[in-house]
Amino acid sequence: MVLTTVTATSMLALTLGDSAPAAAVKMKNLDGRELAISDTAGRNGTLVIFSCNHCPYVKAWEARIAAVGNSGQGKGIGVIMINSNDPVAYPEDSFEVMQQRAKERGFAFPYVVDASSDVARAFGATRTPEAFLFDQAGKLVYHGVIDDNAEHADKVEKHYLQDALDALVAGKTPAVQETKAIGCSIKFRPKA
Amino acid sequence: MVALSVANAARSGQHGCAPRAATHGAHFVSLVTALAMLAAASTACGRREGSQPARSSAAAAAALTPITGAGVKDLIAARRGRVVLLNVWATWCDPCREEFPDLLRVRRELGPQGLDVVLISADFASQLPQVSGFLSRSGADFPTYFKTEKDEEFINALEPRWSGALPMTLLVARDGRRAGFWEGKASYQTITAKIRPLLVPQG
Repeated sequence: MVLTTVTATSMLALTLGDSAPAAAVKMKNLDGRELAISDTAGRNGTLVIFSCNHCPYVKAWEARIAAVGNSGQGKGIGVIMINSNDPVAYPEDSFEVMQQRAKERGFAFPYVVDASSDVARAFGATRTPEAFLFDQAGKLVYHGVIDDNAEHADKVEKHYLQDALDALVAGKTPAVQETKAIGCSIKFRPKA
Repeated sequence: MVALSVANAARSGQHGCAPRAATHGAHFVSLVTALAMLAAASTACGRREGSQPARSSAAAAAALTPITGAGVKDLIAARRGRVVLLNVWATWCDPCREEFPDLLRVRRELGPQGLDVVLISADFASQLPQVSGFLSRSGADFPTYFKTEKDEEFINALEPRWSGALPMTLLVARDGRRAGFWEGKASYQTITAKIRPLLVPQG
């Protein structure tokens, strides 16, 4: 079967084994300080989550994102959540709302502003939330969703991200390394 | 259980003709009244597929039917001979809502030449009242669908290249060949430019 892509609106995402691109790009954290992905690297690996404030899928998953992120921090995984959305498109994705949301949800990890959206572009991230987990050597070992049921936390059967993180901490390769879910598309800022 | 019934509905519904699908769907779509189902059914099946879509002023509450990835495949297979534009959207997705009027316009204008438009909402079940409201406000007076399956199964059944971002659009040629796939909103001009070559009768 011939598959013809008529437009290439979706960028190529990282593939397993890739290292984090744009890892040295400084981004403003909630405390106003500049932070890069490389600054957050943990001894057991690094978790990068593209997220935002306005998206219903993010909202549905937010408490679980806080839980898995906070648990990762406690296990030697560096965690950084990145908002690449243009707040001009969504005022709810502003820095102030990020601060508010982090407080409400108890994020114990950095939540930073990708002010040009170029970090998301470099990752080939397309939607929120979208997680990228790198191992001790900085290689991508998991890419995808938080779990298999955004809508109903009580009906989750597969805790993909938590399982991948636990595997990594145990020195194993995650059993499931790539997952997908519907999500809000990232609202990229216009290119400079 | 739901998935099974839905697949059956899609299978027996053939060209998406509303009565059967609505009968099955009614068990699950409590918000769509039986009356609305009947109205939608008569609209959808009172015309031949591909005839000028009925533009009823009573456009409110056309059938909204649950569907799975397998159901979508069956539905596309049943439309062999027609060009199918399949669009997955959600009420919370701004670009989806922005694109919606153009999809309805494309359907109105190119339906008579052989285009079917299949709209599938990816909203959470708790948002179905908003989905119905949006559809009727938009004048979508033909049967549409909502996803009942887990995201990943649904995504991979429809298009393995799909990241999950919305809106997502697939074009299927008359011979069932996958003729287009894109994520994100497209303009009326872009959409029609992609569809028109596919509508040329096959010789």
